[in-house]
Amino acid sequence: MVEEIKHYLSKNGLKEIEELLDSLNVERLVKIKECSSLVSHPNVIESESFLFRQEIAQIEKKIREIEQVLENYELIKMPSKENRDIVFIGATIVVEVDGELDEFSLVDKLETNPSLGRISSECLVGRMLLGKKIGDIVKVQSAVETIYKIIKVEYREI
Amino acid sequence: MKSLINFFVKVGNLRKVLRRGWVLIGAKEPASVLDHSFRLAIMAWVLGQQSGKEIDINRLIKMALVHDLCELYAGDVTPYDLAGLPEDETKWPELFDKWPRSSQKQKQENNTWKCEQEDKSLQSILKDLPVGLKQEVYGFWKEYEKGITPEARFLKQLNRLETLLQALEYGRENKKTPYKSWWIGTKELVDDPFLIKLMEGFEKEFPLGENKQE
Repeated sequence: MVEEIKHYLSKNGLKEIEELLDSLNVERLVKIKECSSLVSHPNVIESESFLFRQEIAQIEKKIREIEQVLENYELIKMPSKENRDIVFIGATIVVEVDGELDEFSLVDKLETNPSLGRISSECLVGRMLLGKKIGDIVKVQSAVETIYKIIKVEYREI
Repeated sequence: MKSLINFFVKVGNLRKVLRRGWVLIGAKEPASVLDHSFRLAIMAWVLGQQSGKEIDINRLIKMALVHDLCELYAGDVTPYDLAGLPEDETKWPELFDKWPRSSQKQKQENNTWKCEQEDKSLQSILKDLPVGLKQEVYGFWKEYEKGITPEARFLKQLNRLETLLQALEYGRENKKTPYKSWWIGTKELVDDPFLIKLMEGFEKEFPLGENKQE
């Protein structure tokens, strides 16, 4: 999340990232409290408090990374009515692949999760689908060729 | 100490949990979850360093080591299992020439069910551990599942690539063209330019059609 690039997030994606930030802030406070009670203990060894400090530094690094995303994002906007048959980031599409129907949304890499039907707009398939329309046929080559026929393009809450 | 020893025994038992995909295609010596996690951790360490990304290698390796602990009791459930397998086992391998397809709603329901099973399994594995360790392991698993942090995103993609590599190795060992699904699944997931290069490296190292005795 340190890359200084713009992220295009859905409302739910943004919510999830904000929740992650909240939980990290709580975790940080808990660790600081634990660390200070450890330091005041007479039998504490230096290595233990060092480990705590390291953990706190890691949490703080993650907090900074998330804050950078939150300073540099845009909510996905629905395209104009005449462009809603085109695949942009945020589109949920139905495709025909190998004779079967599949449905997924194209999302920012931070929201990628194929198990939930969310494919990155930057993976090989996502990149090829962007800008295509209903009825278009997209061939994605690698060791094996896969052919996607776009059946439906929809813009709804992801 | 007893709780730690019990934990190590449970971790060792992952060698008995075979990777389901390899079982379904009838691989002669299917890799276990332990085999997979070990190589994934090595790949995470080496490639995490070489990627030039600001990735915390220590966290990445730990995440790789624990990401599939939950499969000890939950099992390694594939999308093919979730879609329903034909009764005739001889038809199972050919399923892997296609990536399983479904509606988004179906995927989300399957994912919710799978996560619940895995969560229960992991809680059971970790239940007697000291609180700090329990929280750390569980936290890594949750982070991996959410897939938002750079480490989790990198590892999820690497996880798919380790599986692809294993499929290519089985293909070479058995002189058979690997089933297409591993390539398709990888193309629909990997978006990191460094890891896309790794995938291209696999293509060169394991060229299609190298196994001529099919």
